[in-house]
Amino acid sequence: MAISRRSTNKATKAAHKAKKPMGAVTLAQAGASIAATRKPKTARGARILKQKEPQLVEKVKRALMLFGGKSSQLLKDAMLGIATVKGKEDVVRLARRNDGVRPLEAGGEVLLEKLARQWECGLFTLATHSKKRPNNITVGRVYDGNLYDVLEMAVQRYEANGFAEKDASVPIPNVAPNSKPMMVFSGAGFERSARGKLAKNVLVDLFRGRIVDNVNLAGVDRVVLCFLGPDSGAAAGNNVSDDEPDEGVVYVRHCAVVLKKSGQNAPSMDGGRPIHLPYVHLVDVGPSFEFRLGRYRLPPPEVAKEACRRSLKPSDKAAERKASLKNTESDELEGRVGRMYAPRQDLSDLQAVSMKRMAARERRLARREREDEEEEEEEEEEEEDDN
Amino acid sequence: MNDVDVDIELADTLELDTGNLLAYDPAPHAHNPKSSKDVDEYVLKHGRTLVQALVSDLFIRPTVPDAAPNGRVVRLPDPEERLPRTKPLPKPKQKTRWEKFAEEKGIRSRKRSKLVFDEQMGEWRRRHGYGRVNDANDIAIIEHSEKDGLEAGADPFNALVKERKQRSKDNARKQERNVLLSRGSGGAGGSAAASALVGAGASVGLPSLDGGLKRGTKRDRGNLAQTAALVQRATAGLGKHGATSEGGALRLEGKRQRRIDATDLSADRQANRATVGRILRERSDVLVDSDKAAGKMENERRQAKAYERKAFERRKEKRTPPKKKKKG
Repeated sequence: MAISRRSTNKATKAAHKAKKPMGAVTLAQAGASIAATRKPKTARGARILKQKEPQLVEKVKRALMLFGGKSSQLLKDAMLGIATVKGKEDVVRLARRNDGVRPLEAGGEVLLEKLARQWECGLFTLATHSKKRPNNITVGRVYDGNLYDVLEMAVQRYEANGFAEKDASVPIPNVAPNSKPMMVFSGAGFERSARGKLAKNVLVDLFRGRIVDNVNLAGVDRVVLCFLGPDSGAAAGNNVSDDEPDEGVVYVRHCAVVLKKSGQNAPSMDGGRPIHLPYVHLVDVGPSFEFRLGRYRLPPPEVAKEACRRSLKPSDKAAERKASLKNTESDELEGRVGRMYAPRQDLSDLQAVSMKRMAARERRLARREREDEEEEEEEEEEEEDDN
Repeated sequence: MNDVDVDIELADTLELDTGNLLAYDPAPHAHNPKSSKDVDEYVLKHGRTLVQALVSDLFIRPTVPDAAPNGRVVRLPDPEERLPRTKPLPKPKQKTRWEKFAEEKGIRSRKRSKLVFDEQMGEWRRRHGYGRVNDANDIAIIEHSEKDGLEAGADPFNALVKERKQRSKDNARKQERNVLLSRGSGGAGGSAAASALVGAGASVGLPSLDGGLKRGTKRDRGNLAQTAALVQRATAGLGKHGATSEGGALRLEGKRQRRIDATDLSADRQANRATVGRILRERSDVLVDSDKAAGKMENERRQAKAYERKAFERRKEKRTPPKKKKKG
C-alpha cells in the first residue's frame, strides 16, 4: 500500500509538472516578487531594505558555504580552510545537508539561488562527496538572483598548516585574518582554456576582499599563490576538448609575506624621495590546497557583458570625492585641517532664546520695571511725606 | 644580488593588476615536478619572485598623506580584472512630475521652519503636530455659505474633513502615477539580460534548464497600456475610477485580445483557417506538401523538355535551309 501511495505521489507530481503552462511563475519567482512588493513598516526596516538594493559600489562578495548530500572529513577541513583564507566575516556557513542543490543539473540550482538571495551572497561553495566525484567542491557565482557560472574543484590534498615542512625554530608570522590578500597566478592554463580562465576569475572573486582605492603597506602581509599545473591523469570532465592541454590541477597556497631590508632603492612614482624596496620572504603558513578542476558552465555572453559592466572607474569616483572635498588643507604640524564657511547672518533677526523663555523673560523684566516704578513712586511719596 | 629587481624575462610577460593586488605570469611552467614536495618548493620559489614584483610595484606608488596613524598608505590604480557583480547596476531614479517641473522653472526647495507665527492667535505655533497652525479642530464656528458649494443642511466641518482626506488620496494617486510612469519609461524593473539566466540553458554541453516566466515580458514591466486595459475591463470599481466597459466600447490592445463571438461559426472557421495557414507558412521549410512538390518537379521537367525541343528545332532550322514559300 505504501509503495502505491508513493508512486501516485510521483505520478501526480509529474502530471503537475507536465501541466504547468508556459507563462506560469515558479514558486521562487513568486516569492521574489512578493518580497519585492512588501513595504517596510519601520524606518529600520526601510534602511535594511535600502541596503539590499543594488549599490553603485558593491561590498565584499559573501560566499555561501554549504554541504550536499554526503560529505567527508577532507571536505569539511577544506571548506574551513577556504573560509579562513577568505575571511570568516565574509562567509556564510550553513550546517545542514542540502541534497537538492545540484548547480550543474537542470532544476538543481533553484534552491541554491533562493539561499544565495536569502543570505545576500554572490558566491557559493558547495561541498559534495560521491563515489564518482569524491571530495568535490563546486564553486560558482550568482548574478541578480540567478546562477551565473559554475566550476567544479575536487580537493586532492589539503593541509591546514601548509604543505611545507615546519621548522620549529622559525616562528610562524602572524597574519591579520581579514586583511586584503595579494594574489599571484602562474601558469599558461589560466588564459589558454575557458576552464582555466574561469578558474582564475572565480579564485580572484573568492579571495579578493574589498575593492579599495588605497592600501596600507603595513597591512600587506599575506598572499594566495595559485599555480595551474599540467594534469597527468585522465580527463577531468566532459568539457575538456582534445585540443586543449589537459591542465587540470590548481595548487593554492596561502603564505605569509615577511618584508626584509634589501638595501635597494627605487624612484617613487610621484617623483618624491627614493623608496626603499623590501625583500619579500614567503612563509607557507597554510591552509594549502590541491584542486583538480572538473566540469564547468559559463554564463551566456550577454549576461556576462551586463554583469561585468562598470559604472565609473574607481579612480574617477575617487577624483569626484576629492573634488567635493574642498576647503581642506594638509599640514605637517596640524595634519588635515578643514575650513568652514558660515553664511552671513542677519543678527537683528536672530532668535537666540526659545519663545517661551523670551516671553517669560519679557514678563519678568516688565514686572521688575513696574515694581521699580512703584518703588520709586513709593519712595517719592515717602520723601514727600518726609518733606 | 638582484633579489628585488624583477627578472627581465619575467617583466615582459608579467601582468600586474595592482588595483586588485594581483599578479599573473602567463608563461608556461618550465619546471617538471617529480614529487609533490618538488611542487611545493617550486611554487614557493617562483611565487616569491612574483610577489616580489608585485610588492616592488606597490612600494613605489604615490603616498596618500595622513591616511593612517601607522604605516604608509599608497594609492592604488584601477582594478583590471573584470569580475561580475552580484546585483545589476542601480538604475537612475526617474524624476517625478514635480521634480521635472521644478527643474524646468528653476524652483528650489527651501527648508521650512518648525514654528510659524499664527496671526489669529498672535503666537508662535508648530507647523505640524499638536497645537499646530491652522488646525481644523481649532475652528469653533464655520459660517454656512452656499457660495462654497455646500447644499442646505450639509455639515461644513465634514466638508473640511473630506477635503483633507481627498488631498491625501490625491497625493497617493500622484505617487502611484509617478511610479507607473517611471516604470513605463524604462526605470528600475529587472534587467532584460538577467532574464536570460532564468531557466537559462547551458553553453557547454549540459542539458538546458526549462524555466518559467521570463522576466522582462510585458506583464512584468508594468506596461501602462495593459494595466489600463485591465482596469477598464474590471467592474469592481463601479465606474469610480473611470468608465466601465461593460457592454460599452472596450479598448482592447494587441492581436490576441480580439475575441470572436462563440456563436459565430463562419468567423471561427476563418480564424482557424488563418491560424493553420500561418503555422504552415511559418513551418514551410519543415513541412513539405508532397503534391505541390511533385507538381513543381513535374513542371520543371516539362519546361526543361520544352526548352530542349525548342533548342533542337532551332538547330535543325539552321542546318537545313528554310523552305521557300510558294507564292500564289
